[in-house]
Amino acid sequence: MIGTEEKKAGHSSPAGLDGQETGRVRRSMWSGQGGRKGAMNTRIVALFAREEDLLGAARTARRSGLKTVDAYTPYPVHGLEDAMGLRRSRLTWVCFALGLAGAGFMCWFQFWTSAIDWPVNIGGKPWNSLPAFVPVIFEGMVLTAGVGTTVVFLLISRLLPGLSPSLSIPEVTNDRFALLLEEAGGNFTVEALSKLFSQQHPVEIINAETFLPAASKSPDGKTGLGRYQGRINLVLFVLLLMVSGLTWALRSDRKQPNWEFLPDMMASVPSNAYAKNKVFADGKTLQAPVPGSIARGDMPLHFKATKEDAVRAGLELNSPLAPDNAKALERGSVVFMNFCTACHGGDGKGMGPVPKRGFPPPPSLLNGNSLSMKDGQLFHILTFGQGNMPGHARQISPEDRWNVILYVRSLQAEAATPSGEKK
Amino acid sequence: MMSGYVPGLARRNTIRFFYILAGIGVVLPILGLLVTPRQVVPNLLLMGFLIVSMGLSALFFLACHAAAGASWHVSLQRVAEAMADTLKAAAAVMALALVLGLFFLYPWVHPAHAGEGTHVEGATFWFKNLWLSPGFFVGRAVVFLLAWIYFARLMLNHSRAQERDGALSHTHATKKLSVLFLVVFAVTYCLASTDWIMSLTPHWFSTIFGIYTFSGMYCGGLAVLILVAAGLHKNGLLRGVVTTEHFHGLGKLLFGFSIFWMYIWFSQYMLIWYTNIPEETAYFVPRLSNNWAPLLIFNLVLNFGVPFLALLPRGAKRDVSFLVKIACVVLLGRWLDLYLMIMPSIRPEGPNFGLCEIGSLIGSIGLFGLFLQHSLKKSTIIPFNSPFLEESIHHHQ
Repeated sequence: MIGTEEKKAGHSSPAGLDGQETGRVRRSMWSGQGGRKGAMNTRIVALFAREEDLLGAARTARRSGLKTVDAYTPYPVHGLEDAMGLRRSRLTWVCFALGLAGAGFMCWFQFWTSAIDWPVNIGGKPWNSLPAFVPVIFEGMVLTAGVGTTVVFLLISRLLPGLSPSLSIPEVTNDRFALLLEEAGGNFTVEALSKLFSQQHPVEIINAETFLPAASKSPDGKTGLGRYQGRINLVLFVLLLMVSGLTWALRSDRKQPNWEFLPDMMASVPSNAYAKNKVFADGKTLQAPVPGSIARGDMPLHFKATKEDAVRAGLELNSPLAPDNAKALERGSVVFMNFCTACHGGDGKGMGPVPKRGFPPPPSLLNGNSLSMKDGQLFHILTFGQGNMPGHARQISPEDRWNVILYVRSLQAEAATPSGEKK
Repeated sequence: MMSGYVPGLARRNTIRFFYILAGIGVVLPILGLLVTPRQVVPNLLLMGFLIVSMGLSALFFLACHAAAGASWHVSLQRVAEAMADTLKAAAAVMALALVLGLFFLYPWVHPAHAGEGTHVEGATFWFKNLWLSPGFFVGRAVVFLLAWIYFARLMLNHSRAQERDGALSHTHATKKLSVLFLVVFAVTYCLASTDWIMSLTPHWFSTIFGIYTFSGMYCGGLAVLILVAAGLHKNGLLRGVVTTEHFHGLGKLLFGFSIFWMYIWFSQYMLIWYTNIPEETAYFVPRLSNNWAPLLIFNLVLNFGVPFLALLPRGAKRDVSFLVKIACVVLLGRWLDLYLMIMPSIRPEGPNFGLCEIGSLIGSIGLFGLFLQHSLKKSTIIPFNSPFLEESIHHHQ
């Protein structure tokens, strides 16, 4: 019977032992289903009692030119891959590539998040700080390579969820070592193999075809629930996904955090600002700044709101801005528009909307005193006020004060230019 | 038949070569000591610490495997034992370096710097003051060195006794002894590296320093083990006992521990870099400036870059002649790593490579080679009566 099938099949299988091939054949051996449909070569299983016999048989088979499909052992047998003549697994390259990909991704991701998309100043370190990225790059590499290689290994070994492996020869999990051989040819028989392996004392040599179809009827001889183990696992897995999905989706209040797992640093115990505090000598929580401390970016002015100090400011303070700073000039015009035009008017001549309604008009900014005043004195006036003009220290930042002075200077320069030269 | 393995472990030329190297290593420092003790004593300290670490790492190798009940290392057992046996002689070099160091090296000894690093803004650290007092320092050093020598002695005695009577009880005793040694070793080696190297800068401290020196120590020890095993194998003494599988195992350990060394190096560097407070950055400031910086980078290349990239493929770890080359690179890196731990603390202004450096590099190799040569002769090179020998010979990855 085998002979006739053989003729129909021809030599269908390639000589190589690639993973797919092994996987398919293995599945057909374990579960008795699948495998190459219809025609196939003769497959014979030799069972041994000792690991040395299996190794010897694998070497003998290889020497005789027989094709070893796979070996099944209760535990990993050292040197079996050499005896069977298996080539090195390519899984190491998968691991290498995944490791590189994980490290590369983490490198790019941290650069993008901390230097481009959302730069946060941490301890004054540069945004793109390689030393800070290294731990995450390292862990990302290990995680990607480790988990990825495991998943790839499961995939190429066809160990997928829901699959129910069943043993045709359960002894190989206990005390038997099986060698599955495959060959096309009329004289590849149980008897011939018995002769070949006589040195290795095989316990049993079985033609795989004789028991595989039978095995397919009752996959593993299990009764009751055991038969549905694979499907039960699959259902449980889907249930797990559903439960965790629903738990997430049906949170009562999406704005509240979920149940706090190890909340040790989430709920700190801060003191209220005006509560008593044992830590400080004066017993208060809110501490006054150290005398003489300065707020960040706030340079104190050592001037009083007097005319003399305004003149002194003109001598001592200089604008930090270059006269041709276009950006400052543009900003200055905006500030002028917002804070000055109400009284000084858009052109600086002093007839803004407020004086038009009867308020005493300020002197023109374009001639007279304003021209001879130095930048520093103007800054003093802007800060502390003069005459009817209140101080603008609270409204206009020091930088903007200099910007608006620059703008006023440009207005003055424009007014001084004879009208014929204007464009 | 087997007794033929005992004498003549290395060729006469090799022995002469080690004598010449050791001679250079001894003569150059003595000459230098008269001229520039500030340059010589750090190099002597380096030499002592380097060869003591080699012996210790062999002892650690044996203890680790014995404690874990491993068998694959048994083919290499006698090589590692001979390395551990050099501890006595190496300890003498170390002791000399420490005594001279007390006169020329450690800043906390001198009256001008007395109590340096022991008080900050009026607060006195009485414990640190006590810890860094010459008497206690010498006492600790004696205890550490004697403890290591004693453990090496006990381990070797068991091994040699088993060679005579073949009793299994020695294997069990070694296992118990190894567990005890590992505990003692962890504490003493941390304290020793703190005492002998970190106290060169008494203000500065790093809690990871002990494991940092340990990670380097084991890298160096594995490199020496590979070199010695490869040499003996080439001479035919270990043929058939130490196989490609054993070199593969050693190569994997070297590969793994060079990554571990880099991991620990970076752990120390990153925390100091991140926190950026003067007491801690004081260690890296000289090492990242004044021409020390290129050496710092070169150190990373030798100790991590080369072994990591070169030993990544499987074939590289199974090619003994290639593995030997990498082991040489790692050994050079070991010297440089210790040089960078010690010398910038003495000479922050920049490296000054001279005869002393050549002396300490060549001298370490020569002295260790001589000690090892002497130790190798004391016993059979293959532990014939070890219950694990057969298993080790058939070791398979």
